[in-house]
Amino acid sequence: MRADFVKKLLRNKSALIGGVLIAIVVLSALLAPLLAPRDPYEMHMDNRFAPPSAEHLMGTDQYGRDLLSRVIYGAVVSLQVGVIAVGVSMVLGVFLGLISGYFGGWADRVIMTLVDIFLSFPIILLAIAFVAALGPSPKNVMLALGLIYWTNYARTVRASVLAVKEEEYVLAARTTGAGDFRVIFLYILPNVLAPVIVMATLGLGTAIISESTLSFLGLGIQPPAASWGSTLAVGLDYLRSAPHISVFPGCCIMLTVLGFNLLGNGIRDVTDPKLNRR
Amino acid sequence: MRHYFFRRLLQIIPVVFGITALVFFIMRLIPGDPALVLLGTDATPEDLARMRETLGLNESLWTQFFSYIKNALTLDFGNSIFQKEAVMTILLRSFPATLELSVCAIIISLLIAVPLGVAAAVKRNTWIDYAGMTFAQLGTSMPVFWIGVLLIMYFSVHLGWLPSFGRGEPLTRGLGLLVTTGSPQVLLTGLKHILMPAFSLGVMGAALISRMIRSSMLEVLDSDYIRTARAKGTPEGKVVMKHAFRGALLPVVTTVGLQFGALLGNAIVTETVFSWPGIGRVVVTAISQRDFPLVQGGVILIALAFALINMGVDLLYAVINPKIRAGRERGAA
Amino acid sequence: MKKAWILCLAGVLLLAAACGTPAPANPPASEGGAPAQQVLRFGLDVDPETLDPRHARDVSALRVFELCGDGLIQLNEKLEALPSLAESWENPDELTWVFHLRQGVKFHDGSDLTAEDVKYTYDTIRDPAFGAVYAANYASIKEVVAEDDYTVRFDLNEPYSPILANNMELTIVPAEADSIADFAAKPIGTGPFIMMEWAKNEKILFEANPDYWGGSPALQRVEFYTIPSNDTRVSALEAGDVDFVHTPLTPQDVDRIKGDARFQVDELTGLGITFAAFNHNSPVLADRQTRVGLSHFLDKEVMARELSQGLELPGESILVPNTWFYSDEVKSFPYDPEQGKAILAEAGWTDTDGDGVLDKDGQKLTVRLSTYTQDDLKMQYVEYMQNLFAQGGVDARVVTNEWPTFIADVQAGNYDIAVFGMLNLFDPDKYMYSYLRSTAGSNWGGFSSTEFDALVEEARTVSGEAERRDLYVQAAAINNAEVMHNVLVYQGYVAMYNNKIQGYVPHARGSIRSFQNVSIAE
Repeated sequence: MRADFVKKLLRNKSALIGGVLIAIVVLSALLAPLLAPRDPYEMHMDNRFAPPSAEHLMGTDQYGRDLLSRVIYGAVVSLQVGVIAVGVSMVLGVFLGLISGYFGGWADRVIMTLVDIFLSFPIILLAIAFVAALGPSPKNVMLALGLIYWTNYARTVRASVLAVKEEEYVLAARTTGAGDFRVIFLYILPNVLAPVIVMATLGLGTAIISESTLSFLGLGIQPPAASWGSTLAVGLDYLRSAPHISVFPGCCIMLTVLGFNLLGNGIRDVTDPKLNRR
Repeated sequence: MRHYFFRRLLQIIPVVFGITALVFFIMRLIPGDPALVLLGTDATPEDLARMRETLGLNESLWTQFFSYIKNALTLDFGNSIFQKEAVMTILLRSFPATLELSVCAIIISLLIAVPLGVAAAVKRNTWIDYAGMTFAQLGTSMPVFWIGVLLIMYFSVHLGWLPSFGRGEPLTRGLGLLVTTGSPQVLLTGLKHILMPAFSLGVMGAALISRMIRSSMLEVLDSDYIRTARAKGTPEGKVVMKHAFRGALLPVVTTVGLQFGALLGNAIVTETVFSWPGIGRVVVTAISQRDFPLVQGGVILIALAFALINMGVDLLYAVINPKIRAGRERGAA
Repeated sequence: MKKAWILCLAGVLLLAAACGTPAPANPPASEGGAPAQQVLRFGLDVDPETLDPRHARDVSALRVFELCGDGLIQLNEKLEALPSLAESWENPDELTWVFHLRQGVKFHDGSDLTAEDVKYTYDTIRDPAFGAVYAANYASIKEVVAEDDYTVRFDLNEPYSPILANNMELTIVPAEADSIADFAAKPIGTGPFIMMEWAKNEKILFEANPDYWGGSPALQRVEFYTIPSNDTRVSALEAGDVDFVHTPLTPQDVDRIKGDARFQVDELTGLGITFAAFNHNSPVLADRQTRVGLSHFLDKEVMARELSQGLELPGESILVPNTWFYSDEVKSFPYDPEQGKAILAEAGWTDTDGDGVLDKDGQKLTVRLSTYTQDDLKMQYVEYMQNLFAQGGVDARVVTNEWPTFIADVQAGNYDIAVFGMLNLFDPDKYMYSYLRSTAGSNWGGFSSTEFDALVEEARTVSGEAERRDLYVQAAAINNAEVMHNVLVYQGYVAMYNNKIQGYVPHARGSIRSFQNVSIAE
């Protein structure tokens, strides 16, 4: 099954392109200290806004720092924000979705009302309020985004649980006397994971975009550290005179998010039974 | 049907109450209070204490909350602390602009998504499919504010075709004048102003909607009923447009509904970039000033609009497809 | 189904048509087709909150009142008091000021301006029940008396020499203001322009007041458009959608517009300063020598020249240039990192464990640098300061928050070094008296110098400018020596406008009063 899945995934062009893009980004983030040609924090006030050249492949920023190095280190921050935000929302959402779908009753009603509340709250406003309350720092941005995006997981998982709850193998497990949580985690969870993986992959892209939007609204991470989003947002001030400062991080965001979207959609195509019949 | 309608309406009540509680307490958790912002840095501690008392901020949180709820039930959302005006008045003034922007953004989403989705489904697994779907994804892959700034740079500053900021004229007023006087001038002014903001907002939705169209069309194209139609010798164009596209519409309606809600939230950023006089900017400014009543009222209004739109989508869904009336899953992708 | 496609197609065509038509030079105001040349479109950064002069607290509202209102006096570019609604005034003793009103002045609703209107304006703003934010600024006034229709007397509680600059520019409202519906949205004044419409968050429209006591303005209309983003506002200027923008602006935009022959750029040293407030209650900074050492790391020259691209000037003291109280004798500590390190070493801060960070008694020299996110340039200064401090071996951390959080932290003393600013320093009293005096309400940094207190208190009671200046110069020197507020830069003021605008006189605090004499050339 697993080998089959990988083979199918490789055959899916969307997933393949997405996977390659993501692999490049993840690798450069992991190898940041080796790849970055210079110290990303070293300022040279006599060499500000230098355009791309052999010496500085992406040019320098408003403090004369090497932009390429900053973009490479920015990958670390942006990916971190994405992964942890998605992790938080996934764990929270899957857990609540499982409870809600499996037990039903008042737990279901409470959780689903909560979902509706969070869903109708304008997402960016919620993020602004959370970050403002917690203070802007990478940790809090991740937490805030995590607290916002859990609802989709909860809904999807709940729907899948409802579908598999009455399957024979689950009923069988229950009649042999397995406890509720054993049934949930051993028998139900593995069977509802596929859509969650798709969502998480797509969610990574959304989280990276949201972080940049928060940066644009002045609630991103604290300088001198930089994510792609904060570099892009600050760089927009210099769009006319030194476009490279915003264009490079902007393109990194675009390609990375595109990669996550293509990969996520590819996984969905491969795992979706409806499209798999043929 | 009526029974279902009322049940859905009842479900909105706890949601709106929950939103009210959430926004009320979050705002008070955020450091900094309106008295401080209002009085500025010159204020003495005595001035501050007096202002907090005037604003009712020295009461206990619960007292404040319950009196807020009590007033809200009579549709009294208080006065804006900074603008010295009823919250309702401010919100009702700015909401139509946001609604107009969102509707136009949805239209643009559909204009992009429908041709892309249909073409991708019909030409499945060809380069048209891949290119189309990748192109659609590009829209969601760029931060809205970036798209917005680039658009202004190109179409306003470089080419000088479109105005760089503001709303110009409400489209409804333009339409009215077009009908009553036959003059398209005002409508055109409005359209010119809304084009870029609506586009930058709309491209986001296009990705999701076009994928939805593609996959639901694929499903329908594969069904027995289409095979029969083909076997009977119906021209392919008719098969696609008449049978497949119509069959695929149902999930699309749902997606558009959900997307609409997301737009209301995302409009905040677009409104900032394009100086659009909508509710999103009002609320963002209010948050940064800690204008509690205005933030609360604005969030409740946006949430209510979102809930009502979703309810409308559900009802529409139930009308089109009575079988799923009971279910609350909306089958979103 | 076909219909749907036709509809879609029609939509596309409509949109295409909309963007194909070239935008007229004057899109928002092109209705009616009348010759629109004497119209000035002004790009505003924030919408005013309220337009009742007694409640208003933002700069945008001030700009509105400069067009549609008048005060008893007005301060010119050099901050000298000139007659406005008051033709003359005298100060018979230090507790009495008498103003003689101009006769024949009419409000926009046609009623006459009399002493009663002046009394009403000042009585309401001081009335606690009215709830004016700045009521406390008028605390020195005991009573306002209308001696006759055109004579107003102000009786003071205590001698208050800054009264002209601080209190007498207030826009006068008609005595029946509070019975006029919607006065706060459509104020009635005596100014050269009449306010016609305020579409909130969008635009404010004015028309010329042909009966203005100072003569009918040449401009027929002035239109304010609210454009919050600095980039978009300048783009709108370049695209020809507005004619005039001014501070706040991004330095790079100013540089570009300077090279564009279509526009005129005026740069002035403004009336604001940006400073680093040192918290004397913070354990690390309680020691004066440490503060002095850190001050030597501040390269103000580079901040002003590079980061602000020359819009701001390196700061020396709290005495702003181009004012009657300026003095170049008061100097700040020079940028000299070696000297700074030496002073810190004397104060006991050395790198004993070789980790590159200075320490004393096992404690690292850790300093938080705070500012607020709404101001791009201050964010840049702080990021640069972090780098300068780090090079000097200081463990410096940037803490940025939204303004309300930032200022709440500062008030609570929860900061080490906070970078913020002070605008509209017409008179040094307001700032020195209420921020730096040891018992002042806004002294959040635990500053205490009895010598400083005595100087600024005395300056309130002395009336000649030369005498007051002497006292402020001494006080400013103490501020520098003690490192209370270390002034980083003098803020600049920039106005950029279409070449066709003639007769505009730039004003350091951004006043647009000269619009009454502005005309648009062909």
